[in-house]
Order: sequence, then C-alpha cells, then structure tokens
Amino acid sequence: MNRQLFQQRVIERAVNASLEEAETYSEFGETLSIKVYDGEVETYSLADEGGVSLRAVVDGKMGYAYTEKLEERSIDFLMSTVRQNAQVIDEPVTVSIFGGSEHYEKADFYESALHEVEVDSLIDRLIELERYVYSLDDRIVRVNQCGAQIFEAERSLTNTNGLALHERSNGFYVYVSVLVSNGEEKKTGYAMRLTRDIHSIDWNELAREAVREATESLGSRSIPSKKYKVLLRNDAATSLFKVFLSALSAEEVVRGTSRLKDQVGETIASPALTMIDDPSHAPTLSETTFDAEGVATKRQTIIERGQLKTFFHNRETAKALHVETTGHAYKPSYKGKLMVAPHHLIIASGDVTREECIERLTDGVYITRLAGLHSGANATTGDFSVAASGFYVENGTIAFPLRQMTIAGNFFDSLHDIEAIATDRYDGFGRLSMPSVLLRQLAVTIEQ
Amino acid sequence: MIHERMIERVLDAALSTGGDFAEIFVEDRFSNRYELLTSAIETAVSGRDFGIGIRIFSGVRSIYTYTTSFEENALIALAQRAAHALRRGESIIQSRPMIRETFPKQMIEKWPNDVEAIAKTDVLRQMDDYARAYDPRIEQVRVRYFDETQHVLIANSDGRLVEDTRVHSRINIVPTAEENGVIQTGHYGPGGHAGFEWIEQLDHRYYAEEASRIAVTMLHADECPSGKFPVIIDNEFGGVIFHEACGHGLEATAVAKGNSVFAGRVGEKVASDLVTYIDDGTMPNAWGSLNVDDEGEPTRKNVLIEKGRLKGFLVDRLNGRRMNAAPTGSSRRQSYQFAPTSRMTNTYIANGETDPADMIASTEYGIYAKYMGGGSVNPATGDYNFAVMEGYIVKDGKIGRPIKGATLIGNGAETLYNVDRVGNNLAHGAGMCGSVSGSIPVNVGQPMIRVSEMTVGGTKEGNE
Repeated sequence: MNRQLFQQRVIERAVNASLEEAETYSEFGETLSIKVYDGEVETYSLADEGGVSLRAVVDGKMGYAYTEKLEERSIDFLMSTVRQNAQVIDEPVTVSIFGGSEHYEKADFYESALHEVEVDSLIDRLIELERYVYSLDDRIVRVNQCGAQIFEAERSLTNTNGLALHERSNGFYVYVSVLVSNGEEKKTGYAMRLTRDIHSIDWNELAREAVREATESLGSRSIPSKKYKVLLRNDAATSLFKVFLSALSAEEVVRGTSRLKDQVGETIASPALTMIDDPSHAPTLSETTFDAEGVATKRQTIIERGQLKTFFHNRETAKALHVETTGHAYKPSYKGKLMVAPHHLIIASGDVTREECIERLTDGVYITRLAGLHSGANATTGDFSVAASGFYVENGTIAFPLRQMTIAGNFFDSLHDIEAIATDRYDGFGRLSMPSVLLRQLAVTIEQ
Repeated sequence: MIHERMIERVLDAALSTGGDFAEIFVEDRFSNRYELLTSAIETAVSGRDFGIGIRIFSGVRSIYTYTTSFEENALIALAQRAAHALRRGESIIQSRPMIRETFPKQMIEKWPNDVEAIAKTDVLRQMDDYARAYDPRIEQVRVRYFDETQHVLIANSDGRLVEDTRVHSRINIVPTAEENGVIQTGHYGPGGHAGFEWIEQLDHRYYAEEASRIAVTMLHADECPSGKFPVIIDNEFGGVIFHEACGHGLEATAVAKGNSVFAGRVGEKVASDLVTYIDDGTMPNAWGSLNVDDEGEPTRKNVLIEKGRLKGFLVDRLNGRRMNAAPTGSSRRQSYQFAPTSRMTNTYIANGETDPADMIASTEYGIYAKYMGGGSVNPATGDYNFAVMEGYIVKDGKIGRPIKGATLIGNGAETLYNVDRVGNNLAHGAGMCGSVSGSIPVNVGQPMIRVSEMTVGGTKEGNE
C-alpha cells in the first residue's frame, strides 16, 4: 500500500470505529552515506526508514500508536492499541485535533538535481577530496574522516477534520576531518558543507579549511587564567547557544524549568541581540510550512534588540499560557509525543565584521571550538563549564594558539555581556544560524 | 515472514558482483510503553517497527543497507545497489538452498500483545503506591513499563534459514526523595526475556521499596573521601563494572582490530585466580538471553576467563574472519537499522567461596558499593569511571555511614588482577548496553566481590 493511501485508510477506519478525533502523522526518509578511507570506500549505507503514527481521542483522552509496516494488519493493530492507550491515560486532552490554518506557504524544499547524483561519481569525488587533503601539508598524519550524505525526507499529516498536508525536502552534506602533528603536538581540524546545491561546493576550499583549522592550532602556548574579553567564533557560538534554546520552550516554562519564565516583554539580553525564527529560509535545511499538529508556520521575531517577544508554543502550551500558538509543535520522530521546538532561528547580523571584532581585542581570547557541551552545561540554571580551543589576541592581532581552555559562566548573564554581533553568519547543522559574538568578559582557565 | 524463493533471489542479487557472503535480516517488532509520573499515567504508546537489512561480505570488507519496504523489486534493487558499491566484479557464488533450523527456545506464557493495557498500567500504579508509602520524604516517583515482541527471520547464502521470536518485559522505577532542599534519587529496573507472567510474579513491593530506600538513605549521606581503598562491590548490578571494563574488551568487535588489552593473550593469566568470567545467552528468561543471535547462530554458554586464565572471546562472523575464529552465538544488533557485531548477553563472574558477611568483617577500611549507577569506559585503554548510587564506609569490619558522590575509577585489566575475594551469592541485574550495533538488553551479574585497591573519587579530602 502506498503511503498516502495508507494514511487515508487509517483515517477512514478511525471514523468507522467511532474514534472522536484522529490524526495520522508520518515521516519517511532515505539516506545514502559514504565514507572513504585510504582511497577506498570504507562504509556505504543506503537506508530508508519511516513510519506512520496515529493519535486519537477516546472519551476525552489521547492515545498514541505507530507502525513502520504499511499494510491492513497494521491498521488493526493501530485501532486496538490507540483505543486501549487512550483509556489508560489519566489526563484529559486540553486541545482537540487541529482544523487547519487559513493559509499555508507554498514552498518546495526539494532539489531534483540532487536526486540524480550518481553514486560512482560521488565516490570518485570523495576519493579525490581525500587525496587532495593529503597533498596540502607534510604535517598531516591522517585524514580521519572523509564522507558525504545525501538525504531525502517526506512528511505528511491527515486528520478527521479534513486536514491533509504534505511536504518533502532533501539535502547534501560533506565533511572532512584531519589530524596533524608537528612532532610535539597533535591537533585536529574539521570542515563541512551543508547545501541543496551540490555544484556550489568548492571542494578544494573545503579541504584547505579543514587543514588550516588543524595547522593553525599547532604551537600552542599559555596565558594567565582570568576574565577576558572573548570573541566566540560563529560556529562555536552556535554550539553554545543551541544548548540553552530549551529555555525558550513554552513546555519548559509551563513545567517551571525555564529561567525565562515570566520574562516576555523584559530585556533578557544586550540590545545587540535580535533573533528571529524563519521556517521557510533555513540554510540548515530544516524548513517547514506546517508544524507537527498542522498549524501553518510563519516568520516571527523571538528576541528584538534584547527584549523577549515570545516563547515557542504548540496549541496545548498556548492554551495553558493564554496566548495564540506560534506554530512550533514538534515531534522528534513520528513515534513520539507532541513537543515544542524552533524551526530555524537566525540571529541577525550586526554591523561589525569579524576582523573588526578581533581588532577590538587588546588582551583577549578568540574561541573557535567548544566541547563537552552535553555534560558541561545546565539548560535550566544556565551554568556552563566547557572545554574550548582558540587563540590569544594581542592589540588587535591574533598572536598564537592557546593550550586547552575551559570557559565558564552563566549563559543568561552572558547574554547581557554581548558587546557586538558580527556579520559572518554560520550555517551548520541544527536549527540555529548565527554570527560571531563579542563578549565583554568571560572566565577563561588555560592549561598552564 | 517472507517467501524462501524471494530470499534466494535477493541474496543472489547481493552476490551478483562477486561478494562471498550475503545475509538478510527481517524484523517485525511490536512494542508497548507506559509511563507514570506524579501518580498519573502520562504516556501510552504502542508501535510496530518493521524493516529488512541486507549485509554483503567480500573478504573482510562489508556493506550494510536497510529498508522498510517489503516489495521484492525494491529489495532486489537495494541489494544490487549495495553489491555494486562493495565491489565491481562478477558473481562468484550463488546462495545455497535454504535449510530451516530448529533450536531450543525460551518459554513465554502471556504474550504481551494479548494482555490489555490496563493490566500493565495497574502494575505501575501499584508500584507507585508502594514507593510513596515507604517514606513521607518521597516526593515524586516515575515508573515505566516496556514490552516488545520481536519476530525475526535470518537467512544467508550458506543456506541458513532461521525464524525466531524474542519477548522482553521490563519495569523501571525512579523515586525522588527530598528533605531540606537536598534531593536524591533511587532506581531499580528488573527485566526478563519473558512475557507478562514475569511482570506479574515480580515482587513489586520489594523493588519499589528498595528504590525508595536508596533515595532516602542517600539524603543523609556524607561526602565520600578520595583515595585508594579496598572496595567491596555488592552482587547483581555491581557486575556492571566488569561488563564495561573487561566485557567489551572480550568482544571480537575490539579484539579483531587490536583495540583490546586482551588481544593475542588466550591462555595467559589476565585476572586473579578467583575470577571466572562467563557470558551465557541460554539462561532461562534472563533479560540478555536469546535463542539464536542476530546472525541466526544458536546461543551458548561461553567461558571467557577461567580461574584467571583467558579462554576465548565473543565472536561474530565478520570479525571471526579477521581473527580466524568460529562464531560463538554472540552477534547482536539493536534493530534492522544496524549491522550486527559481537556483543554480550548475560555476563557474570561465577560464584566463589566467601560468605558476604565475612567479606565485610575482614575489611579494616574501605568502601562498600551496595548499588551502582552509570559510568563510562574508554574501550581502547580500559580506563573506566562509575558512579556509586548507594555506598558506605567500611571500618573495622563493620558497615558505617552512607556516602554520596563516590566515583570508582580504574583500569579494567588491573582491576581483574586485584579481585581478592569472591562471594557465594551470585545474582544478575538488567541493563541496556550501547555500542556500534546499537542499544541492546543485557544482564550483568556477580556475587559480592572485593577489589583490594581501587581509586575512589570523592568530594571530600583525604581519609575519613
């Protein structure tokens, strides 16, 4: 049975089984992953996965079930389990299944040319990339990783209110990681590109970037540990900010675990910070025209010149906090429950270039990479203590790379310490794109 | 599950470019999850996971691909694409005729999908009541129920054809105790390769109260001292240390590539004479047991270390090729989305002679780790660290004050040599083990054991 037909059939049977309200939500994806090592294909995987979930209301309560096998017998399974599951739930539903927004953006996030890419030519291109990397510098010990992925995804939602939504997207991602040594120290460098237009990639520049990242870190020295003015490079800043985005989730606010609770309308950051959510222009390829409960998505301002304008809501959290939904319902997978997440956050570019920011550092630190974020940061309190790599900047010029550092502080306090935002926005993975950030001060501990 | 002739055609497509082995893994898995928090059932989800994985070998190179499609044309196309990526040659073998194999099976009485959701959530409510009634300082309890019924079909180009069903059932309880701003949690998570009858006959009161007891005890625990001390690790889940510190080093996954301290040392003394370390996938209704592994090989009892000497490893097919060793019924994967590799099942240190009471009485000063929490290991070096969930100081042969914040740090290979007492009260605990082929159910086990010296990381300076 094909996917569309299956979902329609599920709704038909839900209606026949007198389920008060029912909704199917599905996600399907296909990913081709290739890694090369030493001139040969090291791993190759072609994976297609996905499924259809059903949620339905019975006696005022919501049950969930899902299936990856699209056949009639699965529908029997969905009908019987969703009913039983609704019955054992204790909390009645506070919001019904959605009837539909007035208007949905017409957008296409699928590039057909990507679908036509030949596997053989991609393998050859990767082997050539690895070879070119090796040719760039004698200090290269090993190309640790060199690979690419082509991914396609399709999602769809249909419900007993007649709502039927569908969209698809695809993308390409290539990465290379290299290990270098000067005989005393070993350092790694990494570079990646994420795009829908494979022809826009400058493969040689990708190689040079990875090697540069690694070789520039050789010859590290130390400086005293104290508070410094810090420039967080765009990619490092993105990795830090992502950890604390949950504070903007209305779910966390309702649970009492967000430090930004009751702060809508208040100043939570320096006036240099403006953050918008734009679901239809996501350089990280997470665009969408409808959220996980079918509400049309729209561009909106989250933080304006330091002032918090809204949290991310779904219809349930919106009802609990007496506001309109912002269209941020999210399911991490079709198997799970409805939660909340941003679509694509963009921190607006400022008016100083990265170079100008560096010039502002007389005795400062330029941080290019962070690690240990999953264990060294507390999203609820805002406290963080994470490993960092970077450079010492003296009188506006990068002087030398620094030994292993730790930066520590409180994220919500640091938001007020933002002196400037640069113009160099970074588009990596995840739902956030942001430029480099100049922080007035941050506690930096350096290996002596 | 899928027709034999279709299997043959798919395997032949996989071998069409000169691969020398091909395997198909079909999985159809039904699962149910319920979660109770603040005495209310908050989550109720049932699912059917389905997919097919195809693996092809050419010498020691391999490729893995998977799909949720069950149409023959799609599978053949998938096999051809994978075969093409692995090697670009001509077919050298074809798949052999299938022979269905039989093997001993675990007993299941009440199949989870025949049991109503309400019977399952009633158990959660009951355990919540027991946990809360234990002590007024218990302010929150989370109880989770999980079951799965996994049907698999495994066929390969050597002519193997195996169909099997695995059933797992588990309860996890996490009570939180609070007093004067101090918060501590306890945890217990029994599970079995068994149906709902196993959940029904569990001593619900015991597990709920024990988890609450741990939480409440730790409210008044002192900071743990740091230093090197003898450590007594209690039975059951205490076995997690040996699982992480040495178990993974005994898997061909690490040994075949030389990433294990045990590589090349069969026959050598790798542990104290008191240590016999076994992995047994046949234990009746044990959480880590399987009738056959995920390559279709019947499971067995594998003695890995006998009285301190290394006897052998846990071997899967592909790594077996690298090591020139036969498979040991140890190849496992989380689902069709992963290629299988050698993993553990139910791993334990065999019973010794010492009475647990004597072990405590003969310890002048040390740490008694009654329940273990989580930890991590660096598989290449064997360095590990583990949190102690419930611990005590032992002084002059008596169990003293409870301590919190204790971390046991060490190196797997060294710890094995330093085992100086092995008790006689072997028991097993259920856990989930994560590695390259995904997260799988395993048991860890041991009697109470003493390690003559371990580094204990605590938040308090010095002795006492």
